[in-house]
Amino acid sequence: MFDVGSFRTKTCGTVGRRSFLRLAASVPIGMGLSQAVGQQVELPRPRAKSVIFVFLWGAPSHLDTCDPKPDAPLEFRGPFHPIATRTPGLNFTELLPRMASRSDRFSIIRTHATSEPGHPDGGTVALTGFKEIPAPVQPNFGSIVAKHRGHKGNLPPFVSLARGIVMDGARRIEGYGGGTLSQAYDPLLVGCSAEGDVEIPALQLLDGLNPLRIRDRATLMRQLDTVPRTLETMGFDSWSRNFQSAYDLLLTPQARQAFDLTRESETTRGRFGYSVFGQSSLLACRLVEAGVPYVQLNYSRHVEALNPGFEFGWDTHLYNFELLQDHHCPILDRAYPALLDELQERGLLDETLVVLMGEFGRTPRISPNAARDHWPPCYFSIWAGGGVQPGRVIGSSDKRGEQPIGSPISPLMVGTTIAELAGLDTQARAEMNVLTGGQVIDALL
Amino acid sequence: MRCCNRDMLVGFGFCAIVASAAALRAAEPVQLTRDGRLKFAMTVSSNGREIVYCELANPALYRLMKLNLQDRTSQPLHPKAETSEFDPVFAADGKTYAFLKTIGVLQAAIVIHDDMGNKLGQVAPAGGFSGLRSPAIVPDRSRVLYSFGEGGRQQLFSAKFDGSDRQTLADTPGINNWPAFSPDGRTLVFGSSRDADFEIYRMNADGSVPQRLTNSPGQDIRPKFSPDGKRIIFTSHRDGNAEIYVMQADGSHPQRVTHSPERDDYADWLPDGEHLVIVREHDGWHDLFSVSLPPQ
Repeated sequence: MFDVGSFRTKTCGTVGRRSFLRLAASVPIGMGLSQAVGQQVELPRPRAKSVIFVFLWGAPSHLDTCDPKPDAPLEFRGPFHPIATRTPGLNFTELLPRMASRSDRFSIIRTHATSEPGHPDGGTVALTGFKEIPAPVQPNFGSIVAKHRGHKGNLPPFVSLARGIVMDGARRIEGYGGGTLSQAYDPLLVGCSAEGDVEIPALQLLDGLNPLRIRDRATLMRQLDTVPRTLETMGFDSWSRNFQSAYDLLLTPQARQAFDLTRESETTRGRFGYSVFGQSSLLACRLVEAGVPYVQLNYSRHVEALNPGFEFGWDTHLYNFELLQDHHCPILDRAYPALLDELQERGLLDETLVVLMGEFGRTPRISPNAARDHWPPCYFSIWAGGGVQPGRVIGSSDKRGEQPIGSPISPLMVGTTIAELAGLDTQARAEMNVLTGGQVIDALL
Repeated sequence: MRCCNRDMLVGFGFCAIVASAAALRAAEPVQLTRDGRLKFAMTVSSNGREIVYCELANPALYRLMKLNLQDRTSQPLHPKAETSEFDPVFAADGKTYAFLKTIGVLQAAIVIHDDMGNKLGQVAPAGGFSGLRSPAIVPDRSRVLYSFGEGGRQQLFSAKFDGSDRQTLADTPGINNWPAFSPDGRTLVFGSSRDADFEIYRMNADGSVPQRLTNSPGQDIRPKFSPDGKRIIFTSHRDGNAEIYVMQADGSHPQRVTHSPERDDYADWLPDGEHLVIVREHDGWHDLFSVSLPPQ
């Protein structure tokens, strides 16, 4: 089901109902945001037509998932048993058996390092390649690809799958959107429930609006005239752009269908698991199939686990082993392999780059309260499809998983490699003035 | 929420099923819930009428649900709860129960209630990021056991219902978790990673004479004594994914109970000692099922 839901915000005292209607009326039917911000043509053929960036927000433990250290002392190695993968010499922990059985489809990097130990800054570095300070904030990798590709039809070029901007507590991650490229390249935010119901936060201000009933502009305008609504006092420009993207796709049957998971069989939906991340993964697959160039597939909107009011992320300062065992790894180990399988079966994996990673690792030494804290010096990523050679193990960490052996690979290199595979060569990146100084991770190609 | 799984026969009352083990075997596994939400730890009351389990109510909330086995209806155990609650466990009287409740940012306490909703006690965590885990109530209801991370390892403790008079029961390297009493209250069974990965251990209720019961690659976790104290069920990954096993109380004769390509976990005994309730992942959903044990 494709639904809007309802959501109350503060009433805007400066933007009236009529001015809102004029805003909506200023967007002609069939004219997407692409025309408003310009569209590039004659692009070189990219190796990755689309990118899915799987963001394990909160930062998973590398030792308890994809870089186990069974020979390390007990206070480091943790309780989980290593299992063989299909890649010689590569072990995962027993928490990820399905991922282990598909390692011949992806390559892993075990030598990532980042500069930022906290979530807000670390998140921005992970998503942009640069620190938040000094300003201005650089663009999300997805915004760079979005500007390069422009719109295709009425589909947005950059979708972030979460019920809002990813947050650390009450603070949003500044690297979530367009940065220096402008808010025109912010992602369209799309939420998905565990049952596969899709919601678009930008439309939640319009109480009672049902996109399934929208057939044409006149219908929409009549609904807008009859439904009560409120607007946020802050960020109206940003909201209006996001609304325009949402409005565009609502009026296009093909675009609406891309967001409708009920068009998939129960068998297919079940393969991904009925979790928010599972159904979001299937939605990412459908969006790529429909032609969306960049999807940021967030495991959760928030980093904290078991923090009242926040979605459970990978920030396991407490109950690390229980949460991985009970919650996070079973969900990930179902959805990520299903995503690779589905892309493969639909003939999309070769042209879709799938990158999976968090913003840093977690302490190899078990913390005083028997969990794991933040660890920026060493963590992992997994790359599949879209021009990446599968089955490679790139680099290794030391015997306790504390430091990379050899040169570490930075988030800027991650973004540069994504851009390169998505068709932005050195010249294109320079002309856009993004990812300055970044190097491609040649070992993946 | 979704279509029925045709393999699951659910069209008759649970009491009748328990009364006839043969009928249950013919029909099983019996699906007890149908909402499909992600489910975790659960506990069966000693009279076999209720199950309390934990579900992911929304992406930000673990909620305790109470399943009435006679009419198969589930409802929130604490409808007004606004923070996550999990790890429920009944005492031997079938009325007193304990659970974990988040009380702040990365803080979780054990709360003990009676069946009338009266709070009998609370064991608070330490300061900072701190949480207790896996409560178990002593059969005479004088104390509560729990697992707690401290000094880089997770140990087993016992305390009075108000948290006072804390005593250490297991103090070893690694993670010690999931303590459960034998029916007579004289023996504990639990999981520990003290020797490598998780294995099942038993010891006297005062923490003396620990003895390892399993030795297999992969996790052996969440043990529970049978109602007669002669057998122990547990979850094991020894065959590649989570399945339920049963063994004698001394660790001998382990037998596999469930055979599913997906996850079977969080088992507890029904009072007849011949059937279990488990959380089964099926076609991407999670529901409670009852299954029977293989013949001894």
